Amino acid sequence: MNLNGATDQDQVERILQGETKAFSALIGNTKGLVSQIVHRMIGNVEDRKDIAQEIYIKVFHNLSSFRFHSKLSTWIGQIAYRTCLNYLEKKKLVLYSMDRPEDSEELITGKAIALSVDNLEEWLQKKQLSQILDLAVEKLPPLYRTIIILFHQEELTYNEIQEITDLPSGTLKNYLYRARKKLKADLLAQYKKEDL
Amino acid sequence: MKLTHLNESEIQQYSFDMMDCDQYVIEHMNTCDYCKKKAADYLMISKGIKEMPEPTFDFDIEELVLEGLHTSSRSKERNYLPYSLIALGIGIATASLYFFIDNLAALFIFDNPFMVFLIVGIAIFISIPIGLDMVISFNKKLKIMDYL
Repeated sequence: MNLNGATDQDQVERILQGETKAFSALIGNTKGLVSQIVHRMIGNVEDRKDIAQEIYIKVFHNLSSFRFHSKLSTWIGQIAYRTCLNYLEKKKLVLYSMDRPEDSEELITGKAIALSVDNLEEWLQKKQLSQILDLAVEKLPPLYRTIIILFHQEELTYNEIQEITDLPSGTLKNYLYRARKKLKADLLAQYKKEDL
Repeated sequence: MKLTHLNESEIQQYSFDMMDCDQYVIEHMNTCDYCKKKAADYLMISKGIKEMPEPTFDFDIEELVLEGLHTSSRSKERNYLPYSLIALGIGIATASLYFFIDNLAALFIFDNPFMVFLIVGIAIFISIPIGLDMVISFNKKLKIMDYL
């Protein structure tokens, strides 16, 4: 059931019968998820517009092949993710690479900085946490950025993210683990910088 | 129960996948304030991400898509080139079969060393770039795996 109370099947049937309003409604219901994926994966503001348009045109042309094995929104998310992935591959942009995980490990385990956990919490409470995190998330590579947002902000399940990204379960959990660890390390580094 | 502190992976699993946690992790967490604090940090990060402003498109996506669909369906109607090329290919193949059907069997008789050399040579010539491409993509994947 979507936001307008129509099931995915009803909505697809209406669109296939040529109801423009039904397709507009579908865009309205899913543009939040698509916008998240496009913004997290595509850095270039100019290209986002073309990519968003391309995504929904692909959705329209492939709607008759949708078999209802997943939620319609997840299927659209998958198209959005693949379209962005193709863009990144064409532009030869880095998708995964991050500082060596050992660097984050060093920060977190306290070899690089001696920081008590109490201090971090106190410091974060004083700061605008979401603002600091926004910057830290932006520093992550596109794939890590996307999955961390899909999991923590869009609150999608592992299965839904797997369907969208086509990543095996273990790999997805591993990426999420590394992304969170990197975020924590970045927060600690930021704290250290301000503390000096 | 684990007597040393939990590692980052166990703490994250406790924070976000408690159902999949080993019993020793839960038992340790119930008694260790240090690890509890570390789990609280991750939960705070999660809460912070949830509160981050969600990005929105700064253009009317519905209008843009409907406009794009109109253009793409018009250009689709006019694009006969792929079909013409396929029809041309089928036509040439059929004509070749019709005119050279008697010579077709001779292609597969390798009594001429030159023919064998030619076929093997072409096969090797084609295999080299394919092999090279496979090695390059394999190395690329290994490089990616290095970050996993």
